[in-house]
Amino acid sequence: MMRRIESRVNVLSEDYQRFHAKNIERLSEFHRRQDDARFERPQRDHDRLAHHGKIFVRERIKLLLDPGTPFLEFSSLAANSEYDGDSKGASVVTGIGIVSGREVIIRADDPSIKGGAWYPLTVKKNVRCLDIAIENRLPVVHICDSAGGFLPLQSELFADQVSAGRIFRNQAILSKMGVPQLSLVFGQCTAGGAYIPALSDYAVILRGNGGIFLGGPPLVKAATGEIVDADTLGGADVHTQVSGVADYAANSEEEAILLGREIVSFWKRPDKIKKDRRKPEAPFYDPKELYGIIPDDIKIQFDMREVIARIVDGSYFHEYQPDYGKTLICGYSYIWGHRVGIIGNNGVLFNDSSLKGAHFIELCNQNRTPIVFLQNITGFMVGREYEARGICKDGAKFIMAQAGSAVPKFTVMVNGSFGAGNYGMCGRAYDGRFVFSWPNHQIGIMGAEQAANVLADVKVRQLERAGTTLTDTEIEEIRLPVIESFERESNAYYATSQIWDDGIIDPVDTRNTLGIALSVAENVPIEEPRYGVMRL
Amino acid sequence: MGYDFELENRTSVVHPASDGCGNAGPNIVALSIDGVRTEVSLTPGRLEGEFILEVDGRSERVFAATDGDNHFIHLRGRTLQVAAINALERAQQAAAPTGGDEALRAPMPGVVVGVSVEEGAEVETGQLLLTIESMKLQTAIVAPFHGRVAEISLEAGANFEQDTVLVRLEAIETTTHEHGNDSTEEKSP
Repeated sequence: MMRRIESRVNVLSEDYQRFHAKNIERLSEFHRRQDDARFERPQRDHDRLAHHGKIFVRERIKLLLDPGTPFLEFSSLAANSEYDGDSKGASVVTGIGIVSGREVIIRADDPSIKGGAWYPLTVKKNVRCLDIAIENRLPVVHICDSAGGFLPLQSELFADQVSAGRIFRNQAILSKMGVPQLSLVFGQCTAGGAYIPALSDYAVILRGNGGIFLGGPPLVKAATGEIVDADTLGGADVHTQVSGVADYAANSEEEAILLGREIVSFWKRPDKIKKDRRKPEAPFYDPKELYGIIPDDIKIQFDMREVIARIVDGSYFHEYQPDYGKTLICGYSYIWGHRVGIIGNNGVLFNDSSLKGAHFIELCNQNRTPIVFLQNITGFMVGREYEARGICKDGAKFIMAQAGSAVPKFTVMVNGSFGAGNYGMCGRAYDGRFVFSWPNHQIGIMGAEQAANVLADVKVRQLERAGTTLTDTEIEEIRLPVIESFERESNAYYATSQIWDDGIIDPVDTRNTLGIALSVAENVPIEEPRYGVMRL
Repeated sequence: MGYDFELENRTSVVHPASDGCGNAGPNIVALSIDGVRTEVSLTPGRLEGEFILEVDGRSERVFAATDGDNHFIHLRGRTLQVAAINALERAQQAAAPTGGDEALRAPMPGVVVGVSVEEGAEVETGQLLLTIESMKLQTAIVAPFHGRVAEISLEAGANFEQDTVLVRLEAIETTTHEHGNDSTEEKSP
């Protein structure tokens, strides 16, 4: 029997009511944007799909999944701030779902947007979902229906380390690891796209719409003068009867999906690592109260324990070092029966809180306990006294311990994520298994106000040296555009557009999201941790 | 250690008695309840949550259901609620120091954003005293215990260094009804 967090939230208070109203507003904006990205398409695009007898991508996934099981979708709002909003969800749907009783990654092109062409962020989202497959040894089902790279932006998606080539590289790595992949070919896979089914262990190709070729009919004509139609060049019968590029032909999408489900049902189940799991228990406090806890202004502090109490089993929490480094909350708990270490911000990171964080990360590694980071961080403390006490080396220890940690790490952007605090708290760069954000999330190298003041100050001193002084209005003219651009580029929608996270989630869904993440993380044995040199 | 349970405002400590002198059969459990040793036999019945309880040769049908830390027991037409008490929490509360006079010091350098109470005011535990801002973050300074504001010297807009005394609180004696209570029964946690 564990101790329970004692909530101090007063649901009748004015603050609670005001925060609640604000967060409900934020949530409805999130749902509006998500519904738009998922479902809203011009009628002509729906007509075009219908004309070719194609099922909408969401319906294809629904047919593939086991009935009544959850689908954890990644980055549903990717690319929302790019390409004039043309590439909704970055033109691809990715996520973890249950197919024939197995946890798999689903990667489905969305042909309702520009024929499913890959924009630069489509490629990033594809690579990311295959990285997740590699890190968590998850099999992959590809639903291939893409026109290929979006040619006007080819230079941004082709040649770099994590560009299109990385998709095929990741497929090869997965196969080398013994993790199976299946491709359902529902459209034409041309050029690089042809390698997705070719690099899959199993491929089903649809008669009629399905096609696989290195060069399509127009390219063949241009290159050699040969005139050939798509079906003769790389249709279902050619590939399943002659070339052996694909394994099964199907006459309808539905047939192909059911065939795919049967193939997956023969895949070996992963050897989950042995962990002592507890019987799951719902949180004692209602997770919906999170809406009244997260403030309406990023400057207002709140107690992270109140958030923990609404995520973990039974709201139980064993707090480590409750009286030391109090701006960082560390402790053990359970989420869906999985033991976890939780590290959450309760203010600025000081010397003591940084040391506490580093120490607790080492404890979780010794204890083979995955770590959940709950970020609400404005940064490490600045000022003469803190520098003199070595805030840099204490912060370095925190980052060193976190980067060297070998247990699975999960990050939830609960509110702010600013400056080096993002690094210590397992920001995107630190290879956590997943990063999810709440709709109120803000992220940046520093706050908008601070950046504006720094830049204005630099300019004022520059001009002073030249003998000029600026009026208040002129200073405001420097500050305003900085504030505007910082605010635009530090909000949750911009962040998720760039795929700095794996998606925005409703705070109430945090517990279920982490439950799925913790479950798939068990597919991989935990290695021994090794740390670099700690500056003591 | 034993398990603490509360039933009808009475707390009992129950130990599974494994002292070797019990003639424990398959369903027999020896218990020490508040130091008194009892042997009970508990056999699962046919229905969910049903048990046949035998104490001192008498047999009763009971139904039990659990919801978190609360156990509901249906026996002889009555439903009893038995609450499991976390022993560590009980020990911590019993040993917790009561509030004394305390100076609330600034956790870091910053500026006062707002003052919510006046000197001399009586404040409840958790009540907002003042709001400070530092490192882009507003922190609420709240009363750690029920008391009176003895000193509050800063005004909104004032800057302060780390460790500056922001508020001085003095404890108010615990409320009279708890003192005036003659009962020796301890206040349940």
